[in-house]
Amino acid sequence: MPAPFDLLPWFYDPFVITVKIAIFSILFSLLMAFAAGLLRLAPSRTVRWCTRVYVEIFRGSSLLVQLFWLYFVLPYAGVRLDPLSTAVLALALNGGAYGSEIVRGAVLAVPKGQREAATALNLPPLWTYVSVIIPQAVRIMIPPFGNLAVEVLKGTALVSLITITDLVKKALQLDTTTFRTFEIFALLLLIYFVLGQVIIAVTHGVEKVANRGVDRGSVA
Amino acid sequence: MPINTAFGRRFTLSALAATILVMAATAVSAETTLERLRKEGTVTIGYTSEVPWMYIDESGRLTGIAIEEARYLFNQIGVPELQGVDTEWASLIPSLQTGRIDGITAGMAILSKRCKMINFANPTLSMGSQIVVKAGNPFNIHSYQDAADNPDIRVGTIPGGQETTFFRIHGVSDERMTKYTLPNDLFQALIAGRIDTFALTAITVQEKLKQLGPDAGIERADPMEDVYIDGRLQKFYTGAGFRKEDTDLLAAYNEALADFVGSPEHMALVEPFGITSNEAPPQPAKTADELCLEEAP
Repeated sequence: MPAPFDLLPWFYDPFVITVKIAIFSILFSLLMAFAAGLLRLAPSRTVRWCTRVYVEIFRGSSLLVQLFWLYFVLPYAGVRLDPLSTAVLALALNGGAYGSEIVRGAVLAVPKGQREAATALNLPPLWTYVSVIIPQAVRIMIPPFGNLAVEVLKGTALVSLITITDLVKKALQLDTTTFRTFEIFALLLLIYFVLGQVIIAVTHGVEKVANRGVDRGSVA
Repeated sequence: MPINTAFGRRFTLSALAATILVMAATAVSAETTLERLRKEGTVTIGYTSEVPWMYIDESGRLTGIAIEEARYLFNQIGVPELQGVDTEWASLIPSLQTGRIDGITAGMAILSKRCKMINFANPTLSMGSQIVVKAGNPFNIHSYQDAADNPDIRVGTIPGGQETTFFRIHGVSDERMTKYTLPNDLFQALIAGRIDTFALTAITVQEKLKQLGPDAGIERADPMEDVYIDGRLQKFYTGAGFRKEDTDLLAAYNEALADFVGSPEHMALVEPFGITSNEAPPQPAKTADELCLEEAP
């Protein structure tokens, strides 16, 4: 293969690692986001408070520091996670904290009339959430979640600092031995860009499916 | 570290455990690290990518001076397989202490401050440091003192590196230092003109300049004065590092090392990387214990 694409085979294993971490982190971020976002609207004050503490800690401190904490500090407390689990855990907790605000905002953005109509139809509160509020809220969440997923993907670049040979680490190793700096980092940029585009395409697809059959006139 | 095995299962198990905060403390066993390594046949060592010490060559194999020495010695003590974890320089000792790796074979110099945290095997090599400058040496730098005396000189350093200490002792202030993480970054930064000088071990500089060729526009500070601090010639003695409690591993490694250092086998292993009889065996001959007692700057 012509330069710089002769370097591509080197990136295969690290590519798989980065993609694995990204997929697991994004899925668990969504899970955490939903859990935390909904719990922040819970009736119990204690639950709301505890959730808020989680969100503020993980949103308000650096992802890199969180990675170091989970990787280098937790072992002193007897908890030793392998590097990949540490990476996914940190990215998911961090992404989930950001995402919880998306969920909370989207739920609050569903027009009040919908809730009132559900009450008028005598739907129990839980059912109101599951069948009326959340389906509408999810449509609002999709574009910002796409954003979040791209953020999480880019966050995976930090895992090279906890000894995982991801795309970034591989690029640095290659740079040390070949010194083809320009080509290596151009390729790296391209790979991340393509991965980001894949996420954006998936988000668009999901958005289309979710909006099928929606009467836009009544939602706006 | 089995990075690419059974990822899903390992992940689900451990992440779940941690999330619900019931992670039990690691199982306590009476087995020593040496016994475990011999049983498993594999040792996991930490390194930092640095030509010619430890790096992944064109065929994808982990190699280099420190790696080949360690591979040979571990094989001698009954551990045939060596696995490397690419770790930031400053994270090597924490990684060892927290049990993420079994040993450090990264051409690490034996220094009293490091001896407080980990045990070192006896040194296999000794060498000096080398200052690197732009071609033609525009600032006329021939010693750490020269670099310190001119406040316009921008110095590149790697936190935790011994050369950083040399610059600091000679009076280079923190504001004049630009901090990088990899030795490679220093070469890049000097070529790009972000810094005016840096220093690394002589072998690293020699091999890297060979690799870069004259077009890179950088060269050794030549001549370079020997470095004396408190009247003592500063030389690096590099050795493998182990956890404090792994005394049997250290003893076995030292025993294997005694016949190895300076032997024809040793030289055959390290000569391809530019090592000569100037570096091996270490001169003057010293043990790790003696080096640990020397009050390093």
